[in-house]
Amino acid sequence: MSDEDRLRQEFEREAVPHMGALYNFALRMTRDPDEAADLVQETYLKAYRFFSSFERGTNCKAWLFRILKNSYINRYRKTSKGPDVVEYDVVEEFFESVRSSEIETSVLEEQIFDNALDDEVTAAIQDLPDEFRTVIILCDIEELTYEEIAEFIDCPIGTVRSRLHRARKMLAVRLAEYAAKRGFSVSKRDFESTEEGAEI
Amino acid sequence: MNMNVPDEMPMGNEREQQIDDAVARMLRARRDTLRASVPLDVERRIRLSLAEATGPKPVTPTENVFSSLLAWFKRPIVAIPAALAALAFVTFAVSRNSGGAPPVDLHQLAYANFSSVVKGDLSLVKTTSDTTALRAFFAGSGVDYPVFFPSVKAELKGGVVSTDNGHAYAHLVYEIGDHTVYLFEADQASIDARIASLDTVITNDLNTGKWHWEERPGTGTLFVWKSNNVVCLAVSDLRTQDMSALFTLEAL
Repeated sequence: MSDEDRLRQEFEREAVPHMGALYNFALRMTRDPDEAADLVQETYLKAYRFFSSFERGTNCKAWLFRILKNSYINRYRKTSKGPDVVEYDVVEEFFESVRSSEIETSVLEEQIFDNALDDEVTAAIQDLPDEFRTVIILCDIEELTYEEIAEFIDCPIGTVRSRLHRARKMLAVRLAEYAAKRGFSVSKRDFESTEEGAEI
Repeated sequence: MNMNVPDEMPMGNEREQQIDDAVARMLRARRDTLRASVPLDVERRIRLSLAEATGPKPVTPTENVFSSLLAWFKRPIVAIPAALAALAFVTFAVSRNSGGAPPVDLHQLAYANFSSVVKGDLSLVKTTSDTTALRAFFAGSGVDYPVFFPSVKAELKGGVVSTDNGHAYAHLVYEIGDHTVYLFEADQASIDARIASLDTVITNDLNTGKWHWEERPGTGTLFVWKSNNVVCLAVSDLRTQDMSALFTLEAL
């Protein structure tokens, strides 16, 4: 077997199984199936070209995600689009809204998270600003480590933790809204400290 | 106010941490359902582009002749008339080609899809053994021919739909023990319309009322038959004898 054949087989074994994870991430980021497909295809072609430089024994998935990120950034630059600018007030509002509550967390968890529909969770993730959606998907869906995510977003690990924390809070609030719409008696007090007792 | 969020923020109180943990648990528990699966046509497109990029590029003795010709064609005095002639030829060829995209090779695609199913790269979109629900799913997903459910001594796991050359095709997956049986169904109309193509040996077998069997060591066993106007291509990791035992003759 030639070196080229060996490389091809190794690539098939190591890299190709992550196509689903890459496509999912690309789709969540671009919100466009065609663009996501192009991005993943470009990622794989680049990955194969540089596969000999992939450090064996490290996480191939994280390596592929880094290539995808670079392709994503390049595409945004080419089309003069930029990542979303986070509305700080909106984030802060979410952040402040979950500080105090009278209901046990376990009850909240049962009412909001366990009963949330998959479509609602997906929509809530989609509604997150880019920076927060990225860390949620990479950490909680794709199981990358904090170190790998930090390298991906090019920020310190503390930033990863901080963004993740806030992203989960935003999701909690959004899912509470969905729960209230479906008739669960989730009080605004469970998530807000300013307007006591009002129903969402 | 429109500004970037500062990177470091205090982590908040214990309750916030509990909610944080609860959200993380919920997301991790739903990981598989939250992931969007790669559409079949996208996966195949990526695999094909990879195959093109990674495939062997044999050097043939004629290559030197082509190189010489290429060098000759690069001379401006030859290149401009040649380019005009090529343009005229391409225009003529395109005007004669009514189909556009080449037909989908059902034979090769069946093997490729089976490989994707086994590796877990191709996920079922509708996971049920309820044929009524699957019929509704296929019809709702644009499959415009009656999908055939053969009597197979294996558990029907579900189905998925692909779109090739703008035409929707139905796929079913069965499992028995550690073995998988993948079934790709295509209507005769798509073959007649040259949207899809079928190997001539298989076509001959089907046209003479035969079933077509073939084994590719290390890849799978293919079984092709026709039910009314639907061509069924089943691929499994079982040997011919074992695979044939799963299908009830009367049902085919």
